[in-house]
Amino acid sequence: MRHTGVRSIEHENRLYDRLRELSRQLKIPLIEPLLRVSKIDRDGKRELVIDRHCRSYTRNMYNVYFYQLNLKELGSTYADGSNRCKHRNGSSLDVGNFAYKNNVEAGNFGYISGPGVLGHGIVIGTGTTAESFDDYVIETVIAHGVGGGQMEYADMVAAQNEGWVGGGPYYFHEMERVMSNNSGGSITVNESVLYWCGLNSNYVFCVLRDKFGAGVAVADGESIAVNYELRQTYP
Amino acid sequence: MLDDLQYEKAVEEYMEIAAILEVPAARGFLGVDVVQPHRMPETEQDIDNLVHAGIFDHPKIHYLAPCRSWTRNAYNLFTYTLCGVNATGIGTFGDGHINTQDQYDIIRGNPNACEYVEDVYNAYGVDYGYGIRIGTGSTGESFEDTKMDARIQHGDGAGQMRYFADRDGILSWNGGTRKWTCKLQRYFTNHSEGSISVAEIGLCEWFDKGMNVIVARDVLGAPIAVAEHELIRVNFTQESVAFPS
Repeated sequence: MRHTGVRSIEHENRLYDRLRELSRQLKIPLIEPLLRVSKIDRDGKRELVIDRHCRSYTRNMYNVYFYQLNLKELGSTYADGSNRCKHRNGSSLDVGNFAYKNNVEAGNFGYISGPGVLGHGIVIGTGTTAESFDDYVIETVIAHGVGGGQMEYADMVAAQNEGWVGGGPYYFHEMERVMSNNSGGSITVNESVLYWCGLNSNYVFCVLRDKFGAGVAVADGESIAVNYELRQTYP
Repeated sequence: MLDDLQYEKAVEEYMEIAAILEVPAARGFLGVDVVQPHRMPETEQDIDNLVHAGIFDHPKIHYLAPCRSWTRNAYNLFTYTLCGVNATGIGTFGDGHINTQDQYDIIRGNPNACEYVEDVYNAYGVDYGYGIRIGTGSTGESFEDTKMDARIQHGDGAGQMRYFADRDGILSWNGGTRKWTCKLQRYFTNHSEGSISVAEIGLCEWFDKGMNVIVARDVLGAPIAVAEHELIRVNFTQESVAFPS
């Protein structure tokens, strides 16, 4: 179980309040990860069932953050003492492959995925294993489709929201994906991941994997919306 | 503005909270050492020989202070890369705009080819406009800094210093603390005929398209005088928060 030092959501929020304040004062870049999960019924009505900070930054994200400050690579394996990252297929990659791309908000680049594509962006699963710092892939993926145990993954390109909040100040990028259950039966969603895709699908990094406190049962004809927000605090 | 001790205390608190919340973070240190070699180094090998002989064991001047100087450029590069946000345009550099402004006041959009820029801080043996930079300007640091206040030019003329190559960053892992440390380093020599006061240090990142972007600029607590025939070493060190286990 991660975040054993966090006693409650209120405690976590207080710690983030202080971290934000110090981040601005000290000029240390802070990127807050937030997770919101909603159930959508047959009439399109939304019910927010999870709304909290993620507790799930992976080693990939830590390595990329530190690399961003010094642009140095070290090591040949994915492990302590090396800053290599791990592809969702299990192979290790130079951290520098977490590349800039001309358009990171297009389908299948950056954190954004096209319809039905499970290799990039937000992906959900039924796995119940607790989060780990070394998570690099969804545990038990829910496949795209209308067969038993499958859900239909929507496009993420149009479901982005970003902007500057001067009162923070911070810049945010919200990414959302809706998965619809037309399988004929109920499916319980227990986990979600956020994948980053660099230049192409040879460079896919899991930066967040969240195990839901309680599974979210999505009945036939209903949908689930998973929303990740990354928020960069500015001085 | 916090003094160095207050800053250090606040950084300790930041790192402690970041470790609890398991969010990545890093702190920086700026080190400057000045020595007077018996014979001035002309090559990188000369410098290595001096270092191995222990010339920096007892420097004439030793300065160490926290870095507190990441600029808007650095933040925007984080927003591009870690938040997955495209450049918002090249019309304005400032609040609400995700882009970078280079040392020539040109605003740039999405940076390219980061995967090839492992050595972006490693400017070659002359001053190509990136890597660790030094200057004489003492205007206070600003989040909006995009260039050095008064850069010291490469050369042997009055007010100039020789820029040696940025050293390969020394990246190391401490398994006990579970922290990374990276030290970026550069040497400069004063072959001019007078003393030069170094008052500011900058770190400039190179991208393709000729982008040279200042990502950090620190003004020293007091200018450091580098006399004729002295050698100065600048260390830009970053230490990560403890990685979760």
